[in-house]
Parts: sequence; structure tokens; C-alpha cells
Amino acid sequence: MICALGQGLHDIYLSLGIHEENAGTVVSITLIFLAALTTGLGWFDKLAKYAGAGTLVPITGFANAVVSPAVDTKSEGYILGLGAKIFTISGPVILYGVLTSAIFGMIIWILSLFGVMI
Amino acid sequence: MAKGIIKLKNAPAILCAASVVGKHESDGPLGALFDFHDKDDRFGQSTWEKAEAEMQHMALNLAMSKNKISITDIDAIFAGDLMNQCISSTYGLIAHDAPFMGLYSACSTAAEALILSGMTVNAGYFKRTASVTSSHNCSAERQFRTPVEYGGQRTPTSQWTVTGSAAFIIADDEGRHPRITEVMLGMTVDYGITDANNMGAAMAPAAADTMIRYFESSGLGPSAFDLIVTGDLGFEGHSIVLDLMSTKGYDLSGNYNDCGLLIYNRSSQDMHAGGSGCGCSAVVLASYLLKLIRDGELRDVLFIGTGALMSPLSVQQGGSIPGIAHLVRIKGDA
Repeated sequence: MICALGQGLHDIYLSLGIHEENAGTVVSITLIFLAALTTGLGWFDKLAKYAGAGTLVPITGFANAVVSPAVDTKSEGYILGLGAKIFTISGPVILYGVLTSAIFGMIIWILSLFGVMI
Repeated sequence: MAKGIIKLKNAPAILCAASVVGKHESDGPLGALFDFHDKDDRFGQSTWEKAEAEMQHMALNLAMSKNKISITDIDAIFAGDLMNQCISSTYGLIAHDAPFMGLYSACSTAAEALILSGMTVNAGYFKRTASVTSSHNCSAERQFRTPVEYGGQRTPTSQWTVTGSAAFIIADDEGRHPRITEVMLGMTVDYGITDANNMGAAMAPAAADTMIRYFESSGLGPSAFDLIVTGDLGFEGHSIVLDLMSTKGYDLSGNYNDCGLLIYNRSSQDMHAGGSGCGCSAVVLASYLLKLIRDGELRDVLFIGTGALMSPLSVQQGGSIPGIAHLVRIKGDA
């Protein structure tokens, strides 16, 4: 369902004259925006109930994982509530994602020193 | 006194009770029996925690108004909830000017509060006490699980924390009322369950332990009661109790139920294994069970509050989930 929506958006953006290379990025941005908006409106969890992993795995799920703690902890203030807790769910993904990228970057760099190109 | 069973010779009366619930509970099969429900679960408050506190405030006021008693007639309040440091009870009941004791026994708090009320009134220390408990789905989700708007998937064994609060007035009273005749304190039982989404399984051995101790000490069997009802074991825990008890030679198939199964229509309301939380057993007892006892449809009931004594911290550190089950025997005054 979300993939179909993404393809639809892709086609619309292409017809609006956006370049093929950029259309994909704009689709991602739109889907992230829609996931964040529906989370804030309290619809996303109901949608996820039916759509299951389809909403949770792609970027829409990640947007929800950032926005839902933000909505939830707003009552504890913008600094110690929202600010401190916005990444409680997505934090591990961001931390280990960055860490893994750095490690693989190092490996590729070391291999390139020996003339191995990946 | 038989071992473990505390007989309350003066049989304190459950003078009156009131229940306040949220939307899902009022949409359930017992919906018409609750005293008040709020359509958006907010109870006019800005946060979920304040909403839960407001439910306790309303429940106690409603219970007192049913018997036209005021807070000056209440000698002590025993209250508890699931929130850290029992904030729903403290903030919810702060306006009620009466001696206050905050309790925590997870979802078995309603039974624990009734036991303390029953024992202190029976002993003559107090003439009237209030037992108040609550849970709120959204405040519990935030504290124990994930943010309310997070779109995660729930497992089939997971239970839905009931948004509800109930207050009971226990009194030394001559009139015709349901009465607490015996109580039995639960013991913590740990079978090594570590899945926080399967609390029914964690609590079921504790419920079976309390039942077996009660039947062995009293010499009575399950058939001596019109109803044996546990607090919030849900579908999973309910079937485990039936199995555990049958291996010990007790047949509960005829008269055993669970408040977590009674409060929702599991399939049409998509409640997975059923209801849970401090409010679950409290609102079912206050609305449905006490009505049946007053109407004479039930004369002798074993009400067994069940609690999973864990915290998010202990679960994250790999700790198992100990269970507890407190028993209250309630008889109709027919």
C-alpha cells in the first residue's frame, strides 16, 4: 500500500518535471512527512495495526519512532522531556548505524591502500 | 485460624463501590454497568498521568455519594496504582482530607487494598475505610512499554491495560451488603518468565499457588463457590491456571473466570489476550461482580487479585517476572 503510494508520488513528481534522480528523494521526504504528520494526529498507530511491517520497516516506521516519543514526552517539557527522550526508540539505530558506517568506511579505506577497490 | 487464611469474624461490609472507565471499557460487554466513562480517556486533563489521578478522584467521590457519606466519615484510605511512586493515588486523592496509605502490588493492588481495609475494619481500628485503585492504558504504555503513538505490533499474548478506577467503601455496618469474610495474603512466585508481553503466564502460577493453599487450608473445594475469579490473567493465564489446577486434582472448569476476559470482547475489540492493570479487577468487581452478589445471583465468591511484580528496569536487565495473588472471599448477605 505504502509502496503503491510511493510509486504514485514518484509518477506525479516525474510528470511535474522533477528529474528522475531527484524524484526518489522527494518521494522519501514526502513519505517521512506523511508518517510524522499522521503520528502527530494519532492515526499512525491505527494504520500500523493493519498494515503491520509494511509501515514499520521502511522510512515511515523510522519517522514514527522519532515523532511518537516527541509527542509523548512533550508534557515533561521541551528540554528534559522532548529534547532528552526524542531518540529513545530510534537512538540505537542512529548510534549503531553511524558506528557501522564508520567501521565499514575504515575497512574500505584500508583495502584501498592495498589496491583493492570495492 | 487456619494456616494462611485470615477469617474476618465481623465480616466487614462492602458498603458501596463506584467505577470510572475509558472508552474501550465502556464499549465492552460490561459498558452499561460502569458509573462514568470518558469518551477520549483524558478526563478533562492535559496529561495521561493527570487523567489517571482524576479518575481516582472521581471514583472515590462517586462511591461516597452513593451512600451519602462525606470524606469526614472515612477513617483511612488505602490506594494504589501502577505509576512510579504511586502518583495517581497521591495526586488523585490529595483533595480528600483523610489518613492515606499508598500501596503497590502491581495489578493485585485492588485485592491488597480490600484486604487491608477488611482487616482494619474487622479489628475495629476504623469504622469506614476507602480502597481505591486505578490504571490508565496510556500512562502505563508510556511507563512500561513504548510511546502511545508508536506503531509497533502487539503479540497475541499481550494484554491491554485497562483505563479504569474503582473505589470501595468498607464499613462496619449492619445493613444487607456483600461482606468480606476471609482473606489470604499472596506469596511471590517466580517461574522464570522473562517475557513482559506474557504477564498472564507470569502471574498464573501465583494464582494457582494461592488457590491451592486456600483449598488445602480451608478443606473446601472449587465447587463450594459460585465463582472463582482472578484479576487479570487474560486468555493465556486463565488456561494455564486451569491446567495447573487440574494437575493438582482441582477441577475449575465449571466456575472459574477472569476479570481480564470479562471486561472486553476480545475478538471484536481486538484486545489480544484480554485486559490487565490495577483498574481491571477493580472495575469488574465494583460494577459487575458486586451487582451479581447484591442481586443474589452469586452468594460466595473467591476474588483473587493477580500482580506481575516487575519494572521495565528489571526486565531490561534480564530479570524474571515474579507473580503474586491475594485472595478475598466475598459473601452475599442474603
